[in-house]
Amino acid sequence: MSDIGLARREFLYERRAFTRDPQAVFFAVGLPLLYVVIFVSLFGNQTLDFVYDGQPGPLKAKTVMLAGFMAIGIVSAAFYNLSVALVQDRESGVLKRFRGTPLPTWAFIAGHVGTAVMTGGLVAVALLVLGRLAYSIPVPIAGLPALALALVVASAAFCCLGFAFTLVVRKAGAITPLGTGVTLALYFLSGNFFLVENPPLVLRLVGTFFPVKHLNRALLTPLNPNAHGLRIEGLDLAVLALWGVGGLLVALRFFRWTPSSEMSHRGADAEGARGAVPE
Amino acid sequence: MTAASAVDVVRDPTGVERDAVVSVRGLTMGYGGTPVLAGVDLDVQRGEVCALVGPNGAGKSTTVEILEGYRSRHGGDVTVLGVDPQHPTRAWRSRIGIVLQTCDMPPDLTAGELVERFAGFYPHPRPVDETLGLVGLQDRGASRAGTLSGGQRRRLDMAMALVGDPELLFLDEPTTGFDPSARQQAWSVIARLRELGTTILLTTHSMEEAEALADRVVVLVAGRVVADATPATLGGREQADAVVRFRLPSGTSVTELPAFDLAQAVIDRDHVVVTPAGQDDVRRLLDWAHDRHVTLVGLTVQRPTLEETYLALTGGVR
Repeated sequence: MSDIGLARREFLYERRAFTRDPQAVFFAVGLPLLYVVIFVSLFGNQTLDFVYDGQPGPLKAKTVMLAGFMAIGIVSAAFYNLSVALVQDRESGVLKRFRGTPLPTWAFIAGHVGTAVMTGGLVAVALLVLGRLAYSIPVPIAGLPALALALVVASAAFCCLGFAFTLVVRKAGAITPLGTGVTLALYFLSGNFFLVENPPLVLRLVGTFFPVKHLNRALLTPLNPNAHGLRIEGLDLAVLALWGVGGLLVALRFFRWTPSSEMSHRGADAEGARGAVPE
Repeated sequence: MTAASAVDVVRDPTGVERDAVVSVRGLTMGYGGTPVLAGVDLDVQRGEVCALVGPNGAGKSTTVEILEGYRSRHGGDVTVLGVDPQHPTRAWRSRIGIVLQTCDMPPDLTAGELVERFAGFYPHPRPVDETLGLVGLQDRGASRAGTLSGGQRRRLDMAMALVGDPELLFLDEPTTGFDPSARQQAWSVIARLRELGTTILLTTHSMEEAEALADRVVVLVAGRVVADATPATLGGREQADAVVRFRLPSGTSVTELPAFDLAQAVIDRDHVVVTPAGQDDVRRLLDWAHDRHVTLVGLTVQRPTLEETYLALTGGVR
């Protein structure tokens, strides 16, 4: 079987396993829907009386919220859920078993990237339909290609970051609180929950450096009914891609396949336990 | 290399015609300054089932993990299928199968899907149905892994390691925690693989298992090989003096028994136990019974069991 075929098969099996796990589907798709219901019902109909993040106005709060919660959905599925699942699989020996086979690392990662992109697409469609039907949030047809592009780039990038993130924890129990903390902090600092007119410098710096704010913008511009042209936020997508490539390089070099309990022993840093399988 | 061609390999007990699939010379390894392996030598010939036994902490798992390519080593020469496992390659991985001690697996895929998924990793996989049949799971192919019993999961584990049709199979304590019937099933799977010509290196704590499955037993104690022989000859077992037991015939007393030269006869409940007993002791006892027209009820003549030999070799540590 060709390596591309192998990656495609990995995606199909990962997708199958994901769709059979109701809890995973709920957290990936249900939670962002719940956020939209709560926040848009409460604050959505306000029209922003300031220029939000350079977007052409007038802009309804619910449009910004929809983009923000879509971003949360993508980050949860591609980054948070993935890194939690990977660390649990690593600590329980599942990854060690995969490592003992000739499956190339990149095909294993590609299978997960495919699943992340698919889940991101699912979240986006669910939110667009809910927003349109329940809250009359406009969905500009001209923005859909740009939205799809942002979704693919972001899902793949956050998925690679998820692989790299597994390196910071040793215990299966530590990944959930740490992942929650990191993502929640980034959501708040990137304005996913609050719309601020002139954010303080520190927020702007954090937003500029980390990828979530860029994702928010890359999703909001396509959804902004006042925007024109292709609505592709090239610079933001480039930053996301850069983060993704960085995560991928770290993962290919350092991703660990064996449980941490075996790491306290020297020698588990062998080529056979870390990074990509040499050809 | 497929199982079909591996069957052609001649099983030569003298070892002359056979090639070493695993070759280990002077293997050393330590964790944080504590030596774990202190110069291990080990060969596994093609088509052989080799059992690596030893007390906890003797270095069995470390040795096997070095051979599987999961761990680096401090010193010594190691080749597995002609490759140094410290630098594992994809082509090399496609020739070995590994059954780890832990048996977690993605719970939401079915047994058939998992075996099929793993089959895709290998250049010349065994057919999925055949592989499930080999481990006796042909009827559970549609069951999700999470719903299988512990014994069935362990066999699925084995199926996932076998589907690539490996030349060399590592089995790390394959039946620990099994009930007797599950263990028998696992043993018959391993016996069938042996017939198919698969080379197997297994670790175990059960001497019964080593005796039932292995062509050769290697005993590891404190990071050193202290014995390496067939189950029948380990530790000079076949030469060792036997223990003779029989029930004391009614109407006779111990003092009437024939004299045993250097052996000691003791009464254990209603049995006489003669230890150690040589061939002459046994002959004298049988002649005595013949002359007196008595039957020696419950007579057994037994060499030390593999377990007793093992305990003697390892100084009683399990």
